Amino acid sequence: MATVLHITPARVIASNGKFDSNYRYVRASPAPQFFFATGRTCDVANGGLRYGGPAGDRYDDSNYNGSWTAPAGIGCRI
Amino acid sequence: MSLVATNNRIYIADGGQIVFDTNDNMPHIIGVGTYNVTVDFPDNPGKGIVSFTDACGGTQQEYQCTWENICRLQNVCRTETNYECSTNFVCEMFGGYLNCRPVTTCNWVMRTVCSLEEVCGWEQVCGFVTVCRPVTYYAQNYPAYDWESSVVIGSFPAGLPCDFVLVNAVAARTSGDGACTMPLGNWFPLSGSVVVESLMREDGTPWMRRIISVYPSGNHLILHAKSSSSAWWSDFGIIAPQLADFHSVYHLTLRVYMGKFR
Repeated sequence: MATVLHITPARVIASNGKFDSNYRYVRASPAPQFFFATGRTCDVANGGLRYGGPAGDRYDDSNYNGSWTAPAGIGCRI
Repeated sequence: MSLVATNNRIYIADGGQIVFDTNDNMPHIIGVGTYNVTVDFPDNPGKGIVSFTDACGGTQQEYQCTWENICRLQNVCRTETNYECSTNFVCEMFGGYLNCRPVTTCNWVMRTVCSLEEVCGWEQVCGFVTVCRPVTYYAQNYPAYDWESSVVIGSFPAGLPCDFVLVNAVAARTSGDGACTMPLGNWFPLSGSVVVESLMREDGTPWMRRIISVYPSGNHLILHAKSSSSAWWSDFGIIAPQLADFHSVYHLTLRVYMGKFR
């Protein structure tokens, strides 16, 4: 029989396991552990590539001469 | 573990750390769509063959004749005729005395007289000479070229703009043969951007990059394609090269999971 709601001192399970307190649910957070990208993550200019991560990290080919910056991602943690 | 449910909030804490909280913005999928799109990367419109001719790029042997005024020292002999006279004394004994008298004899005398003289004259001089040979050199020229296109491939329900999209894609190529970096024919993640083509110079530095991006913008789902190549000349050679064709067409099927945080 499906578990509608199961509560013990160590665990909460609901909706046949769709919710389980043992899982680590992703939440938007101002103190993120990782990011969801919301737009482009790359640009090209002068034949070179710029990788711009949603956390502001960046990698440029030596010949990249553009000015694109990646849009900020949505910071998350679990 | 504690579960707290109030009128407008449910949260679960585990060892003092909240692991679930309805006050948090949490990602969830509000819709799924499949889109078929075609991306047509154009060829470089400014490409061409360039050439120059070096008037003395090579040499060759040619048999040539020229008229030259040549002078030589020659022993030239001429015949000279002179009327020459000589006087001899003719003596005779007469009365116990020697009686001498001059006798002059004249004659025409021919002599050959030779001397070294410079003799000049026009002569045809022939022989093999080294001459310049014009050589034409050719190179491929690709000027710097950037191209980009942004199209709306779908719309979200009004009032439900997405915060993010998760995209799986499968691509097929219908034109072009440049170095493709997508796993053609196989599903791959395309959330954000993906490098589609990448070509390098001889020294390994990038020369041309092409990318495709899929992302939400307001109520729209956007597909953005961009190509960029820097200026490049090939080495010059004596054989006219063929220009490469960088026109590429990709057909993509996108499986888009549209997500929100609240």
